[in-house]
Amino acid sequence: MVTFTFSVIFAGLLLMIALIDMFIWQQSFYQCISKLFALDQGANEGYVIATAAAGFIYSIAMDYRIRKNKRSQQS
Amino acid sequence: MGLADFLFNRRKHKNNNKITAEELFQQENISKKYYKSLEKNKKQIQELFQHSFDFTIDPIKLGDTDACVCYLGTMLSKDTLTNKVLNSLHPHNDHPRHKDISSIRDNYFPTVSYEYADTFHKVVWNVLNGYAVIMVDGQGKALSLEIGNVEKRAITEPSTQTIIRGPKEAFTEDINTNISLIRKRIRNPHLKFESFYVGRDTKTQLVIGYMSSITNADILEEVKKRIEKIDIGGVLDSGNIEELISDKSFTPFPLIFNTERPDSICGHIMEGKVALILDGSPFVLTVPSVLTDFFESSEDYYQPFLMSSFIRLIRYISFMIALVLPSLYVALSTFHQELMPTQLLLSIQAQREGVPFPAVIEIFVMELTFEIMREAGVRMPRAVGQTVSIVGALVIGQAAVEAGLVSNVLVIIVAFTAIASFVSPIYNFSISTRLLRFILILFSAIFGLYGVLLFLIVMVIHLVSLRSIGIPYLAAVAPFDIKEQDDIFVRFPIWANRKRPSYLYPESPMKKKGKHIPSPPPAKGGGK
Amino acid sequence: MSKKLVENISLWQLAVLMFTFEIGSVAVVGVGTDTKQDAWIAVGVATVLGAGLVWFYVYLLQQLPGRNLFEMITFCFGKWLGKIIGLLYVYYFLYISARVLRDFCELITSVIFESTPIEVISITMVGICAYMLYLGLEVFGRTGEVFIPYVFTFIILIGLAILFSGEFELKNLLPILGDGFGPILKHVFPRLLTFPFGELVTFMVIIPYVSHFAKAAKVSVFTVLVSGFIIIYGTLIEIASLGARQMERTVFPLLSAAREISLLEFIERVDLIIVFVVMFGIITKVSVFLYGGLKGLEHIMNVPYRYMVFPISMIIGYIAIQISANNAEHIEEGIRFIPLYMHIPFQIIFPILMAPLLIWKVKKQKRRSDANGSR
Repeated sequence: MVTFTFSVIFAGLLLMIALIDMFIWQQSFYQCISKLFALDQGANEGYVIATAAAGFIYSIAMDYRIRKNKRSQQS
Repeated sequence: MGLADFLFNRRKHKNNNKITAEELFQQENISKKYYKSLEKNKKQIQELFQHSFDFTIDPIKLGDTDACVCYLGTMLSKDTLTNKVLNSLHPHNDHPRHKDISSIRDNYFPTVSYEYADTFHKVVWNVLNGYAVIMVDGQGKALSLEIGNVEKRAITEPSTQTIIRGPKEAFTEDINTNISLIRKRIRNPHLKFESFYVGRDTKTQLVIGYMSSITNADILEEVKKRIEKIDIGGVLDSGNIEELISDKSFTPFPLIFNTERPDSICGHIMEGKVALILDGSPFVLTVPSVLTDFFESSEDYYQPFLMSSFIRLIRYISFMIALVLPSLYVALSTFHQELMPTQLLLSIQAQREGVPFPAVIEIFVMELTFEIMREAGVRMPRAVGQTVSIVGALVIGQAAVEAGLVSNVLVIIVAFTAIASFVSPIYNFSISTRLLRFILILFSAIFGLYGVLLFLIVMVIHLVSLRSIGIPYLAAVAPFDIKEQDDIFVRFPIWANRKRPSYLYPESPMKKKGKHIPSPPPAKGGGK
Repeated sequence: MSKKLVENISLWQLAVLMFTFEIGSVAVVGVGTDTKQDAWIAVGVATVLGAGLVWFYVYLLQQLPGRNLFEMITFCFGKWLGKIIGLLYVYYFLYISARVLRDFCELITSVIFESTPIEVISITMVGICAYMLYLGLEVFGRTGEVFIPYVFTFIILIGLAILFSGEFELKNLLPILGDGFGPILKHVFPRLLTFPFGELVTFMVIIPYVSHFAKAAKVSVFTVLVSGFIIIYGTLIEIASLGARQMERTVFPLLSAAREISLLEFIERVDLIIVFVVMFGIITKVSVFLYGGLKGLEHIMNVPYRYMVFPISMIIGYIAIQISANNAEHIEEGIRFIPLYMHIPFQIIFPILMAPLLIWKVKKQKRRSDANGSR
């Protein structure tokens, strides 16, 4: 459930940014999306991407833990 | 305190938290039964205490009945034993026909305090506690006589928490002396002392003291619950207890207050806290404790309030200095030179010119050196203590500067930081700043001033989340309570301080009824 | 005495949080710069309107005591529609918290710590917020309590220091209302009302957890007035020390104003103090929005929000960087798009639409329970 939430929020927010960019700068949808994922040379975007990935892994671990707790409570 | 009471009452009143000898010996492989036959009992106890040179069994004869006295020679004073017990049992005395154990006591030892032991566990327990136990053939119970105690240290001046004005007594290792030091100061029947035994193997006595008319019942209940949960082999000092009952271990801050000053403990008890006194430790704990307790010395209440308020503020300031000064130096001199006034910057840089290290390394090495010297100074035998200060001051300080390894400013900063960290009246609070200081230096070396701010904010969040026996650690500051501010950062005059701290939820919140303000007598008319 | 997480804050803590929330990003970006020397009047007008708006929010909450915004939405619109609308609010809150974070990152990297990568600042800041929220709302409130005296005194002191440095020129305030009320009202309506004041809509998630709920309305209106007063004070300082034209040009007016300070030839750069005030304000603001979003997710997904604190906050750290390519783009979006198409619908239109529905439903429920009782 946490992973699902993570994905929904992540995708939703990226979409939102793209839409806002489309609205303001009058670009096409494809342009905006590709702008989001383009890695700038020399920028340290690696840090944030790594953090976001860590968040994803954390959410999977959390889901696993919740399920384990639930199972141990049932038995 | 009658041990008999203590040992019997458990089953009658469950709430009394009394522990029987049976429970104490539960895990050990000792038979419980006390036989009528002297031989069996003797054999049993001899087996148990074999290989102990100080255990003695003196066979005696009461008329024609066999009997014996057993005791640990090292746990009681032999003179008293001879005078009180052995002499009166001497065969020359006339006493032939007393066989019943209670009539023996009535006739031979009318003045010695005593108790009966009807289980073997109790016999063992009494022997271990320095009693002389008389076992008589054909009797269902043994007679334990309390003999005078062994040697103990006299009451001395406190060695870690010295003050200028105020009582000069300190707690000792003996629990009864410590309790009497507290009782002497609070003559009130509501002052209660309840006893527990902790440690699987050591069976150390732990006494909690509180004012039943003041202390909140929930807090008391929680403290007892935590003590009962203690499960450990041996307890040697109240420091062990502190770690075992505190709310959180992963924190640099002490969550439980300790002191060796009886007046300070009495002050805390009167506020509604619970004191924990461990046998064999001169440091008494009080729970729950809040952060501000660690900045209060009992002397604050004996000096004029303006002075002590000022000194208290000095303590808070010096805490901050001890924490952030070195890291501020690192951040300012490596990342943010522009934030310093020009003249200051010039003089600092001029001194740093010949120094081969970056500021971080410089300060790290110096702080580490200082920590080593401090630790050496504590552990060293007293006789060579002088050497450390000479070596420290001359070699490390002056020589390092002259050799151009470190700058003068840095030595000043390290020294000032060290002195500032000694200001806290409670030692184990000041050592927490030592650890935090190093982390803070690292943060400032990585992120600069932003790192310092980052660390301080995280520290405050951590502090705010702490609890001591369920009471917020920063109580009266956060959660903020305007009515408590009369005794936190400044101290108001004693007559103005009418309330006990509300964050402890005391049963009787007011310290006194009226509000009497001392004033000069009204001018008398008709005088010359 | 229990050790479990207590989700409760006192009225004083609520006031503290609101106050820091209000002045937090105002201290970064400055408000009302378009209205030139009349900015403080515009702020004053917006404060009064904002107080009304906050009163309206608390009024809505009072209809259903003990339920937060998302529970209220579900109550009004039913389960599925309520979830969808709630999810929109979650997106709104999280997006704004990323924006606020980006504001701060821009301040730090462009003015004070030029060599620090912006990503590191974003991650560390959001890490602090996540840690605080993980420990619970109560810890959040108490942290505010610890810092508020410093924040308050620093803001006041900066004003006094500028005054004593002789940089305070009342001349800069003239002419008062030179262009009449028109531009002020135009500026107040979409932007000034929504930016510091309308954002308090997030507190609809926090106010229900206040221990004396009955007094919440009074306290929050009072707090908004006080913080509005402090913002006016800050704006006056900025205008008087920088002048209207320079203020319009600088990106971070309060910081620029503070750089005018020069006392005793020793106290010259108080940037650090400003950064501290701003940093704490931003932490509060990001955390409040984040908390709003997390509470919404908790309601929608039925997972305790503490499980989601770290993943979601890491998304915020990422989004804050991706939200725009550079500061100019970021500010442009903040002026052209956000107030009109995000703030207005979520802060004003939607609550107003919801109000009659809510009142009608509550009445219906009451009537039904009355009928049940009499039977």
